[in-house]
Amino acid sequence: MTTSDGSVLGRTTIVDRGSPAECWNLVFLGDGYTSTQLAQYATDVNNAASVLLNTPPFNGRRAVINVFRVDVSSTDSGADDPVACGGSGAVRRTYFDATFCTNGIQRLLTVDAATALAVAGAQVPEFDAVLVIVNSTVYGGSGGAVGVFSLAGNATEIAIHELGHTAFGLADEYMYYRGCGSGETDRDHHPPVEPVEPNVTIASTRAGLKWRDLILSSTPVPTMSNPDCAQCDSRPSPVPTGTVGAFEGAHYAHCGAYRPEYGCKLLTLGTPFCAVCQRRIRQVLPTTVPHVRELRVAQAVKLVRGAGLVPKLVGPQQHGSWVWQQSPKAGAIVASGSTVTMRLRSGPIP
Amino acid sequence: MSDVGSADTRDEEPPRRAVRLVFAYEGDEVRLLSRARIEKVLPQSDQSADALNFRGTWSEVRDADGVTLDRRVLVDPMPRDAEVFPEQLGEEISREPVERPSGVFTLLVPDLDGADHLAVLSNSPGQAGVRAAESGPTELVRVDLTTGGEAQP
Repeated sequence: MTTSDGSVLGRTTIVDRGSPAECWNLVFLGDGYTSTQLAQYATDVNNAASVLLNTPPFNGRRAVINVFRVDVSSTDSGADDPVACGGSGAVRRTYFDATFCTNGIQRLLTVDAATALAVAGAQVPEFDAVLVIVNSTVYGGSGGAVGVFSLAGNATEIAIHELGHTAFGLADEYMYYRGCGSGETDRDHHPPVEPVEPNVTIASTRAGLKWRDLILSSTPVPTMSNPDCAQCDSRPSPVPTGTVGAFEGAHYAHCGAYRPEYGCKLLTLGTPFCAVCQRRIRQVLPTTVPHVRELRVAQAVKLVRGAGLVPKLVGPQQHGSWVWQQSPKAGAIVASGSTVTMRLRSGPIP
Repeated sequence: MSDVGSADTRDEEPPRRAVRLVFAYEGDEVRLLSRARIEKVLPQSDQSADALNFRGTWSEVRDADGVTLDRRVLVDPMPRDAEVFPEQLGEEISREPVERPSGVFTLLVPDLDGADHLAVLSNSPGQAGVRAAESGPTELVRVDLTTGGEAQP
């Protein structure tokens, strides 16, 4: 039940897209896998990584995402499962001390996060996010500094939701705290304080919305208002799926806070990230510099902006100008929002 | 089309050095667990709380005169509750208060010339240890950046 109950065996790069100094680096750790179960652990990591890399918007940024697997063996297989929460009573000696029933909640599966961060930092110093797979088919998971999830069906969705918080600074979009049917009475109105996260707001006017540039002029704002602030609004969406607007009920409040779409992975598992959350994730992930040399300025600027970068033009900006030089070079991995300098010439492109 | 590499310009490279800090918290007590210098290109600095008009928690790297060189918004780094997930997709996720909030969080900040210290600040009314908002943000922890670079207890 401590680090004496296993060993760190080393790291394997399972997706290598470039220098860890430049790429976004996801590290998987395992707990409750004995030394004879590490092949299964490798398979479990591959499966989880595949789910993540096929989830929008990560699927569009595979070129900048490295994935590492750190092999950690434990003395015993599985995780603690206390009877206090209705579990089996199992007590397992594992490296990261995984246990269900944290805080008296059966599904709250946690590990020693300080140890997990220390191991991740020693094995992959440039890590951006850490996920721990626990070798148990009992459903559970948790967030915080590291995401934790078990092998139960759909538990990978927990990890992806938690990455939204930990790695990308996204807020929960649900409109309650303990649940719509919990009887809670202190969630009728959101406090008059703007949340820092990009995907929730107390603004109810088009001009005040953080994501106003993503809303079609034909979409009403607010798009959906809760007629009874004493309850969650369970009515169906008045607009087609994927419509960006302002839907009342978010950030643990029935009223007074808005989310960008009717549905989102920050609201319910199994739902795609909404457009605003996807944009935020793309803004945090690095990006690759497009090839713009020997392109006309308008086309080059469009490509640079489309990659989440800022164009800087140097030289004659007139009809017929084209990009003579670019910096950074095409294909370079850079932070989103970085500047791409384009030195221009006029006349025919050679 | 000529060779791409040969004609690329040689503008200044973005900083590639960073410092990773790991903190532990228990209630409103925050302490540094470790820090390490690494090679890493980070996203650009965030705007100030005043500029963004928000309540929350953030880190600042400052020089010796107290001038902010870098700012990173932190989303609920020291939660006082836990998120509980449903077994069936589409059902409600919920939150439960934690009896004794404790845990760890990590920061990545650029390793800047002239950096003197890092401070974690909060003006969030829900954050443990934060005084009334009218008196300005509360500094939760400060780390000297002029010494060392390897992990320190």
